[in-house]
Amino acid sequence: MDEIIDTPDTIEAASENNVNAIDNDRFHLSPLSLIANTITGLRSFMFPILAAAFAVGNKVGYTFILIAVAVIALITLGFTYWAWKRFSYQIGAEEIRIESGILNRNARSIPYERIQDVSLEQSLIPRLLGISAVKFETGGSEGDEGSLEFVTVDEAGNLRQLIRTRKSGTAPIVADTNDAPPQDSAAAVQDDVIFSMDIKRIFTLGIFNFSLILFAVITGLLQQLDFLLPYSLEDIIKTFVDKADDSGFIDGFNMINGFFGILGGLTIVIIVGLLSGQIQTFLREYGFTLTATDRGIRRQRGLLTLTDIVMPLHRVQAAIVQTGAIRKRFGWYALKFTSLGTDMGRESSHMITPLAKDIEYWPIAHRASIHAPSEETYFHHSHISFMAASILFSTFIIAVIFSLSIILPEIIDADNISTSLTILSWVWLFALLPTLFAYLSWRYHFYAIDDKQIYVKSGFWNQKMTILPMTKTQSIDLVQGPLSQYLNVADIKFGIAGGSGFSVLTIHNIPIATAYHIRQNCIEAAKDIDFSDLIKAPKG
Amino acid sequence: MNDDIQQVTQTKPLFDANTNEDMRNAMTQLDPGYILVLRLSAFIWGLILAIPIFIADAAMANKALIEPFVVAAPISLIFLLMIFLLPRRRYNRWGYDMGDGQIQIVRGYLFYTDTIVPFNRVQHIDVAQGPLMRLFGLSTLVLHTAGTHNSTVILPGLKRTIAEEMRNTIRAHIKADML
Repeated sequence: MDEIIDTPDTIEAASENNVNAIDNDRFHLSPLSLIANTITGLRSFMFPILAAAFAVGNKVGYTFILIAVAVIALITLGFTYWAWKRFSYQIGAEEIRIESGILNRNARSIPYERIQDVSLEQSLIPRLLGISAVKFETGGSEGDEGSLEFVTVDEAGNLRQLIRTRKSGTAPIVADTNDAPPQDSAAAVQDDVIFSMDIKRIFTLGIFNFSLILFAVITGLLQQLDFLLPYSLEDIIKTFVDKADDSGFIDGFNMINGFFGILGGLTIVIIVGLLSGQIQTFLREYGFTLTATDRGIRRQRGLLTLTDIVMPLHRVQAAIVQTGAIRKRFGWYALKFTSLGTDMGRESSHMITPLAKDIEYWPIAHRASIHAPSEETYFHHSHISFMAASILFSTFIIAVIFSLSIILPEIIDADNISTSLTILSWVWLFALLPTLFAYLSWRYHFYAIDDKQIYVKSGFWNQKMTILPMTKTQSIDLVQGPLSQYLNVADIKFGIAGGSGFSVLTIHNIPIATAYHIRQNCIEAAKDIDFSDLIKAPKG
Repeated sequence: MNDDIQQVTQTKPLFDANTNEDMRNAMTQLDPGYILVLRLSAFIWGLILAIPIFIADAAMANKALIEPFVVAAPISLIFLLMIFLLPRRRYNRWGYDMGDGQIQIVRGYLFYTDTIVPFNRVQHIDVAQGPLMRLFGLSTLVLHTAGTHNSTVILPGLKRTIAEEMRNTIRAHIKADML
């Protein structure tokens, strides 16, 4: 539906022949946008109106329905006009200013320097009316940073041209950060393979990707199709369970029987798990190849669906080194980059090496100017108050169980009480689980800082180390709950461009003075480099 | 356990503060008019929520289900707290500091948050104004960053002129070396 219009050839100052000027440099949107916006606004009423027409049309009369539609249209038009009247944009020397809002007024200032892209969009109705939406994209992460809906097609072209001119006027070195940087003369050999995975490596990765998803799928299918089987799935499971259950560990014959029953079941589960891990891994990682190109690192992979992406190295914001409790013993790690840009779809960070040794992935990280912690880098534990919430929770549950075990004998007669008490005496062990997990999380949560980077380790099963170059911090929070305020500890939360908004890079529960020092180092490093230089391709 | 990290990070401190109290004392407060805005909005929301509760209370008392004001009295007390006690406390916990290259914003009573945004990491800036704030000539400064965490950093309760001044200051820092 939408289409992108090509750049018009002429550059005209937007102020000159714009009929919607309020004063010298402030403009209304095109009055035609009233029509487009009213139609868009009415679209949401269409189905209720149609439904109402069908339901009660012959009772109240179609004239009434028509009048109702006209009234709704008029009201929508009224609000659209009001919003139009209160909307103005201003093309300044250094920024675009957009003022909007009927009751909640907002004045947005978008510096040209920050505009990454200007796009013109026309859907059907605006196209018929000869108007176009102009959308500005900055590095901000909300997506809809600024949009003018709608201006005339000529004006849209002018605006785009004007912004490009203004932008290049303030930053004469690089026109567009998305474009390829000039040829990298340092790399003598172009397009050389820097990492690849052979069949053996993919097979190894497949083993670690042990997964029971396929098992679940097969079980589900069997349940759907069990009318085709000689006996039902429940029966099979029941046989296994019964055998295990009947055995009772006393009767020797039954015990062996049950043992083999369980063993057989486990073997099936393990084989299916391994197989589905292999299938998933081969489908995704087959032919995994990283190539160093002049535009960045190029990644090709896939068996049936081939993917081929190029990640510009200057857009890398942070690196994540991931491993598991088991694969760590074999020296296997995964390297991921957190990067600006949405070109890779829904992935929050981008897989660079799925399974690699130290000597393989660190040189690749180094290409993105991210280095390994040195021998001297000391990793600190966080404060033990990190576990406070979980300990509190466990204590509360155990207290509840304890009081129940006292109260219950009073209110339930003696016959039924013994089972309840037996259950309770075991349940409290489960209440310790949160504390156990909190302890493990604390035990494996480390942070370190050197002159350039912040390192944060977390996770005891899925272990992860995030490396953040201090210059790449966008903002820093110190956060303290009630207990943290009392104990003078704080969490540090880092704002990083790109990556998932759900897993914020956080150093938990460290002494407030240390937190201030770490933050200060980051801010000092960050505030000397402007964002637009941060994401700019290095000069050839 | 963490003493040795101080040696790693020996640079001149941005702030000579080791506790929150030191930090907050060095902060600029919001416009006092913001207390009134907080009160008024608590009052309006309280009214919207209280009226149905009062009606329900009266109805139940009428049918002799409860004593009059059994529900309404404690609810009113909570609303009174929210109108008279909490706004000043919340206001007191807000503060900001315009540094030479960064803005620091502190807020929160139970959960205290202290945010720093370097000016040159700001993507675009809003000066927003709701109807209540407009009544008192106040504005909210909204900084948008590229971070997925803290993509918007909000500072309410500023005099409109001050908010605009701050916007211009931050604006001027964006790519200042090129202009």
